[in-house]
Amino acid sequence: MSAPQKNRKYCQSLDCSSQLKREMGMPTKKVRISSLWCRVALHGAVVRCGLTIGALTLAPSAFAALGGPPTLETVSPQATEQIKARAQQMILETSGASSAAIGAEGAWTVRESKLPGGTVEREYLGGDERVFAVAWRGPYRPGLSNLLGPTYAMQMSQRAFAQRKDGLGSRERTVQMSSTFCVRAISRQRFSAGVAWLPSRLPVGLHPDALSIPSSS
Amino acid sequence: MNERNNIVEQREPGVEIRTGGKVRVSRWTTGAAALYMSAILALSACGGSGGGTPGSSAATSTPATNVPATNAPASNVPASNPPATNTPAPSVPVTNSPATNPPAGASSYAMAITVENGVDGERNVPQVSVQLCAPGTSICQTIDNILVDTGSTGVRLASAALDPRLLAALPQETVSSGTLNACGQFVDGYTWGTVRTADVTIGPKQARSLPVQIFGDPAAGSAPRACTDNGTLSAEDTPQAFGTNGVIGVAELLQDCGTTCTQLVVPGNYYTCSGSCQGVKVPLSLQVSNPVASFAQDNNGVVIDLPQIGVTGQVSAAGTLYFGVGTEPDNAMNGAVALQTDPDSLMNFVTYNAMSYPDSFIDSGSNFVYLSTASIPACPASSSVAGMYCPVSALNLSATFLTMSSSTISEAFAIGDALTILGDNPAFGAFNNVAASVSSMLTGNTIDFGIPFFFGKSIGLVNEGQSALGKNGPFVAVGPG
Repeated sequence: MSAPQKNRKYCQSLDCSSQLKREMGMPTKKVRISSLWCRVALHGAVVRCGLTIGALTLAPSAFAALGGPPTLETVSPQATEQIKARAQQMILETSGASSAAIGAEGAWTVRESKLPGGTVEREYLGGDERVFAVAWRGPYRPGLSNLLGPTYAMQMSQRAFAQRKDGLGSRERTVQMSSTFCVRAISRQRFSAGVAWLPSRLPVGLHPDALSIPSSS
Repeated sequence: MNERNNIVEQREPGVEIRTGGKVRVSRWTTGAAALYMSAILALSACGGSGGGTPGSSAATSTPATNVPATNAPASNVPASNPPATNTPAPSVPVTNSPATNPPAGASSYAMAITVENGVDGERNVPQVSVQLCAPGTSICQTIDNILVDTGSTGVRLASAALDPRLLAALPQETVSSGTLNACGQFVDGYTWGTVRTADVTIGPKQARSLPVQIFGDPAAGSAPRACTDNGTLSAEDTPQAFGTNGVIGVAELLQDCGTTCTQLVVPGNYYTCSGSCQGVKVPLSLQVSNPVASFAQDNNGVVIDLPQIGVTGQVSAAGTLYFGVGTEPDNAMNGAVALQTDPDSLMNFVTYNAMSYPDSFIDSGSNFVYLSTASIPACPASSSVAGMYCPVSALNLSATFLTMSSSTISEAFAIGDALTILGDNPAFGAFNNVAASVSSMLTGNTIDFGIPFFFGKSIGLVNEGQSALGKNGPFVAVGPG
């Protein structure tokens, strides 16, 4: 099984296709152009440019995004090993998948920072040093426009809003799967946690459940 | 206290006239104009809360002609439905008791709660009415369609649901000589508004000078970028977008942000704005707070008791919201079990179908049960309920919760065929067996036990710093209905 097929398995879902359909058929009033949203769109463009012209994403603002270069702090090899061991344990506990579900040795590394309020942010890097997934967990919601990048952050919130209005999700929990972007998140007062990833960049054999930050870390 | 009691005594004779039976009035689906008109009509001189047992159609429609402009005494209207002094059977919730002179029995610590459609047509929204008064005055308004939310802390009301005269009379809090604004963030949007103090009457109980958020309040100006997360979150500052006219958050933590916000500026919480907005630290006493903790009695938490309903759903379902846990005969939660509850995140540890869901929660603010599992058939992708579950025959399921006694308890819930259940009765607003969040990814780490889980159970929340059922809060407890 090739890597893309394996990855798609995690992200082919009925809800995704129906969401997309619904969005395509939805009124477009939400695409109201203001200077604020224009800036967001601009950032989105920069992110896309960054995929082909890497230097553009190294702007002084160091705006992070899925698919872009890392912005968080480096983590020691020992800490990375601990994270991988925990990921393996988590897979066994939650999904019953095999211990191989965290991917091959050396296939990914981690960067991590702790915000002043106590929330941990994490970036997962593939062999190309690009962020293929992010995770967060802690008492306060981090700036997801920065961690996910503005395009994915907006996609996540707009789909979550549509889900809630359709009875498919709550204010506090969303699960979104598509062939290009996947996220599952909780955000409420005093607690926010989630993981988001780009399925096309997920290392072979890595189960997305391994990416969550466990409660006791 | 004496002074405040005197004020209440002075207000006591004033009785508000409700503008309609709860269920009928709440069927507002015609947008902001209707909401606004209803709000105007509901504005009246105040005192205790209005009369009328749940389901009563006797409520009187009385235009408010005599709103006091200042602190002038209210012109009093005789009560149309005097409070019962001897409470009927405990199973009959009563809403009509003023805080200062409660009759014996459950009506002094209980009120009706109705599960029905929200103002935007969302199903399964547990709602009550609240009365809001400018502190210490008789400038008051009763606002219907307020969500009772076990997943958040604090009273938040849509500016659009408030009469402008009341809004103008609610004092804005100040921090560092700037007026205080609050942001609330969810996965799908944000609220932004002022923080004002109000006397909030919820059924028989009153929280005086409670800090509340008035979202969509023009006085707050534009939301700062940290609140909108650089424009990636949409405003939920209208009743239509939010889903109700407001929320009473009764989660187990006493403030929405807590100690951290007294020491740090936490992005996405509190701001003062003049020109641009600046994040500010806010003392606990000024943060948007759990109203129950401010009650004089029965203030350690709440119990939501919803009866079991039929598998085809109902237009609405009436239950009881009790104030206090184990403080009175009818909120004793006999037979209830305290669930292991993370004291910081308030999450419960759940196993279901041999998989663990360590970040699960029981949330009255969630319309349905949200879990991701491969073991239940999904609804057809082409159907109107794609993303929900559609088992061929209804499934009686159970989830296992860790308890505070380091044991486990199995709690039942049901999932039926959403296509049939929702499709057959599009006007219904109360369902005990609808679930969603179909996903190809098996776990999801979280089960969000929304309103369907509540039917046939009593769900108790014991606040931080309080105790009940022999355990120290914060925790959630589940008992028989």
